[in-house]
Amino acid sequence: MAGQPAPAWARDVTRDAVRHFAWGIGDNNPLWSDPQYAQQSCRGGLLAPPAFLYALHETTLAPGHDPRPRLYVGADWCWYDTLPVGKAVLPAAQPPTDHEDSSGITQTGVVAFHGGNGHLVAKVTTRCLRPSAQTAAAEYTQPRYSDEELARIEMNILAEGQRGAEPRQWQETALGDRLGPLTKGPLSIMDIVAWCAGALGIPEPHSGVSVGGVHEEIATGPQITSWCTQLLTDWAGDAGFLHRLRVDLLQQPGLGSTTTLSGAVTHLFRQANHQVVQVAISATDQSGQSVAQGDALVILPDGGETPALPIPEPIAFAG
Amino acid sequence: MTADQSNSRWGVIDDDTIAEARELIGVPLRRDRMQWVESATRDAVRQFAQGVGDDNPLWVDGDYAAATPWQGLIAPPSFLYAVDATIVAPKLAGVQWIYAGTRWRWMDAIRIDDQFSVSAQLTNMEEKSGRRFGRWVLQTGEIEYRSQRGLIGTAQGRVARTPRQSGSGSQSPRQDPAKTSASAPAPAPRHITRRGAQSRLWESVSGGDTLGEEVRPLSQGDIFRWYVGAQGALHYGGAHGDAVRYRHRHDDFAINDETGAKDFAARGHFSSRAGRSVGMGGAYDVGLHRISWIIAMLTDWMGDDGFLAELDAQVLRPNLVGDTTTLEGQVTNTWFAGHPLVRIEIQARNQHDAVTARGNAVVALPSQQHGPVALPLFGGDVSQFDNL
Repeated sequence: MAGQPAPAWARDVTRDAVRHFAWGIGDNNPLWSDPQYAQQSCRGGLLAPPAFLYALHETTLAPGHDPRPRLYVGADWCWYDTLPVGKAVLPAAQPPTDHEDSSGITQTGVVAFHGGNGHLVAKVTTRCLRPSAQTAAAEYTQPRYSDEELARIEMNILAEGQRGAEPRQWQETALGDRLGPLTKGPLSIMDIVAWCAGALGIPEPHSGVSVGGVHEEIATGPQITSWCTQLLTDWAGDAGFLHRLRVDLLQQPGLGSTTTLSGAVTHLFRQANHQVVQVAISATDQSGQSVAQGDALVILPDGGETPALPIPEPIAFAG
Repeated sequence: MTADQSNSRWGVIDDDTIAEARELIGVPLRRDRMQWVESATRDAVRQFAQGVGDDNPLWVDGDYAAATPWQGLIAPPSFLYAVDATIVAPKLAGVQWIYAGTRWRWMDAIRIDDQFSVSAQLTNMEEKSGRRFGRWVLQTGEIEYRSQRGLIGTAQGRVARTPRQSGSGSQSPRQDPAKTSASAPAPAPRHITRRGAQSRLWESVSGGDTLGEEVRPLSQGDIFRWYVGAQGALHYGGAHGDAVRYRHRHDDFAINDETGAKDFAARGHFSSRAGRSVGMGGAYDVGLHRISWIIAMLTDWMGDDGFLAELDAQVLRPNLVGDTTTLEGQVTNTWFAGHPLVRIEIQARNQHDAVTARGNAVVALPSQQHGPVALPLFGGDVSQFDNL
């Protein structure tokens, strides 16, 4: 039925489902996929990446208003705990509220994710824009790259990696420290297929999910948000914990586009026995146009123990 | 031309590159990066069945499956393609591979949460020559699928390694489907009547029985659904950075003619232009997918308590987006060899009446005289298959 949520692509946090998700965003962190590595890590076993929750619920909460497209324009994530492979997580969505202005109707909804024993694992508030007027889509032409541009993109990607097992200490972090870059592109149809294989499947038309995927040949909002989480978990290391991410999605990259994600530390503070780093993140396309902007809170160890989880109450952003 | 492709042996089939591949015959091959799934989770089985276009409730409906003799969900036999795609095509870097067929043997059903380990080796390299591709090579590999319950099945996968064609596909005998689809809308898919819970008794089947007719039009969406349910981007090194790192290690890529960037080596499945450049005539399906159609037809016919024991299937011609495949099957004979068995021949034809795939199957059926099919088949003695 039009506007109804699509069935979840995954129902269980299995090793295969988690690998598929990580592969779907090109995230080769062994904490998600290498059982031996994960066993020996401070986490004691495989985790799902924070954005894996998109495979359990696509989080577009935008019923009605057809045939207006569903543009996933923002997400405000709060993770309270890690997502160990094999542990049950159940999503529960609340009906969204509608707000209309000159750009259209914005639908704001909440999906809460609970663990098997009922405790809150994560919660997301999503914003979906149902534009009032559709601008006719211009004929899309994929960008053409010079050999030098391609070589630079490849070099940047080959230089990517994770902090991994060596804990990133809060004290060693300074204002202005850079995250990334993390490069996603030139976007291939196979990248979109991989996302669908890990997170989305191929929903029927008008099934209530947001714009993007194999038919539209553009990245989805949840996909871009997931790229943002990889920038943060790559940087944070195994002992770090991504607690919050709020992001505005300004455009959806099409085939051939190259999205570069980067971040900078803007605040360092202590809150409720946690050492918190606030990071401003931004994603731009190959011509420098903004794709996404947001802020994140990462909790880091401070010399000794891995940060205690779950986080009882959301920590507020600074500034 | 990139630095990687400046290697003069990239994409070349000659005595040296063939000899290099031959050295791997009989050598156990690493497959850990080739397994799309390691377990038959309920999600993976549902995703795979959707990818095939097989809506048998035995794979997805827990309440239905609980009432069958299996007392729970099982996976379609073709699910093993998701565990290991049977593509054993080492070496010959830069040479296109085209799936040619599988000889499947199944010992036991695939149960939910079966965990698989796989062993694989290249067993044969056959040199061929022909009008269409010039000199080419048929590589055969053998895969064994074991779960915690023992050997579940084996596969002989056959892959044709053919040189890429240059130019606009002048050797293609086919029209671009995009140009023909407007005049001839795709017919609706049609499936044979699913036998389901009602046992198809061996005694009720005889040579000459027909299975009925299935009609399967192919859309680009069908190809996407196969990929997301059955293999993802795994065989092309993955997505984003994973793909770049893979292509940096292995010279396995094609150049995207729009961006100029290295792209995955099977763009022909998604773009009619790339499909023509490998001599296929347009965007073409995945051979494993078409064989899985044959398997779905057989499992629909045999009923919930039948058991598909063997299938030797050949992919003969490209199936292009816009084409319509009609599958027909016929029982050739029935006999008893440890189990009550039925042999079935299946043929897939396209709208031009060209045969695009063929299968020869052996199905074990429940029997009034011999009772239900006892598994594992042949008491677990896989060598008994050679006597079929």
